[in-house]
Amino acid sequence: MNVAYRGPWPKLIPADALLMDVARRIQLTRTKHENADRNFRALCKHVDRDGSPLHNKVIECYPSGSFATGTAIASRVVKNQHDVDVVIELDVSPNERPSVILGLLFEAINGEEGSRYHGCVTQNSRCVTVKYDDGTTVDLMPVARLPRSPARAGHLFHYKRETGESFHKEVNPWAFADLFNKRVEFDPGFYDLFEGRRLLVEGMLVERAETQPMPDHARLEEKSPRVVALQLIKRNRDINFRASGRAKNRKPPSVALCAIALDAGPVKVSLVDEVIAIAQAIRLKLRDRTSDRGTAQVFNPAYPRDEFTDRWPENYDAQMLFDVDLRRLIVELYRLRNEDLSLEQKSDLLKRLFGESAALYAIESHLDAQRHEMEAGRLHMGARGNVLSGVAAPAVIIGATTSARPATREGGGYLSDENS
Amino acid sequence: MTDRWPGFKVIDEVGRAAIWEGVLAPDKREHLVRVRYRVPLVLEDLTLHDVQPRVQVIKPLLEAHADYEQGPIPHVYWSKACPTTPYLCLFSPSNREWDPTDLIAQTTIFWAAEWLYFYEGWLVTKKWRGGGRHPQQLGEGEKRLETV
Repeated sequence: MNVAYRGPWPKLIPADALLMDVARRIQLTRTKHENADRNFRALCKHVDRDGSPLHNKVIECYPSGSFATGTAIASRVVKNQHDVDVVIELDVSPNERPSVILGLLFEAINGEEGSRYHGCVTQNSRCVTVKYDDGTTVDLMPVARLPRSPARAGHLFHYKRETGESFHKEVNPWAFADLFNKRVEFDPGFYDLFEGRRLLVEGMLVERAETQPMPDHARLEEKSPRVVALQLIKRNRDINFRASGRAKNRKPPSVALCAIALDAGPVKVSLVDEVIAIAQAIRLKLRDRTSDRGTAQVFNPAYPRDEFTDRWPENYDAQMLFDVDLRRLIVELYRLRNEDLSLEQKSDLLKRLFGESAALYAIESHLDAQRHEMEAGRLHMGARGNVLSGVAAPAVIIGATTSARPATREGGGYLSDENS
Repeated sequence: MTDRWPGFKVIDEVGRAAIWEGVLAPDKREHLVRVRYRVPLVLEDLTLHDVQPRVQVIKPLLEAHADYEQGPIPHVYWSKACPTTPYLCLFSPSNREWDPTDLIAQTTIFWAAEWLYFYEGWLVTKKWRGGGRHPQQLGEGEKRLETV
């Protein structure tokens, strides 16, 4: 059922509009979500199939990490590919040797030569990864439930073949996702802004103050500025860690960032302010040095025995590296919001923060939105022809006017050099 | 003109013709723009295409990029006399979006600023996002002035 939005159309500051455009670019499409869902369910059935070494041992499969919290982004944005983290709960002893469980899962998925996933499977220290033809990956993490523990709490199995490192770790990703989704506030006003921006860019926003039909499908990540802000921070992290000098560095885990974001205070009205608020909350956390390694610790708030920072930061230098990244992100966002930047400067800034393809998409979307405003006779200009890009706030632009009527650029070829 | 565009000055005026120059800065960069116009006589057998104001960017010269979308420069009429300062395509003569009764200050200058804004965007994205159309047939846009 369509939901009608009653005007007046909400107002957006230009920096928020640009961030929304970046966010739209890094979103996974509904089709990608559905494919990911189909892929991992098929994979779990495959593990449980007749003849599999784990036949009848699969209790449940569910997405963990970003897919469970709605913060998934296209990790390789040019190809719009993504990684899915999935928990596969197995009916095995939680104290079984990790090398055995991971090995069995690898064998169960890889199967015989010529079978569906054969040759596309890699065994890692905590999961088994399947890579699909389109480059998308699914990380299947085996977990065994712990008796007399809260729902779905279990052991994960850690085994590193190169070093022989082997242990169990208590986790409860399901409880964290459940808590996150309950605590993150849905904001219908934000959804209106997000959707309104898309309609303007696509030229579907005919009259601002009129009732606009809304699509019947409003996804989680489009309704909460906190979720969208987390996606942007993750994208910025991915861009920074793509640098050649960081090839061997671990990335700050998304789940830790999500946990810190839960304590970032009330959700801000502006997306720029929300990203800054979360980045500041993370920086505040990064002042801690409470772990044995002298680094900050973040725990699963739904199951505090599950530490999210057990592998990152490896040391205080790694912690400070991320702190510097966040400080740069905050400074750049203040510039984007407060300074009167040219299109080129905005483009360069967005490239530094979110990568070339997302930046280009945002600038193109901005230009498309301006063109639609121009065609609707709403592109206001100052005395030097300066385009005033208060996206939806012409009423406050004093002294600015628009042309007598919109025009269509038409022509080409030669024109005589005289007017007659 | 001066009321709306205080930076524009008449730099030459002879009979029914005038030339204005002024600075437009739709994004951040300043562009010195020249507008030349001659009011046609009623009985002249002219088209809107012929009589339209000639708008050129004098400084800095427009950049030419053959590899960009609609390059080397999008939506311009070329000038045989001044190849480096083509005339901007600002409206559709075939749709009669402008005629000699319109004030240049209320139409042409706005459209030139809009053109320059999307030109700045073209330099950044290598794509022309300012819309427009190219006449499909020779002669389109050649409607006589007296039919306006």
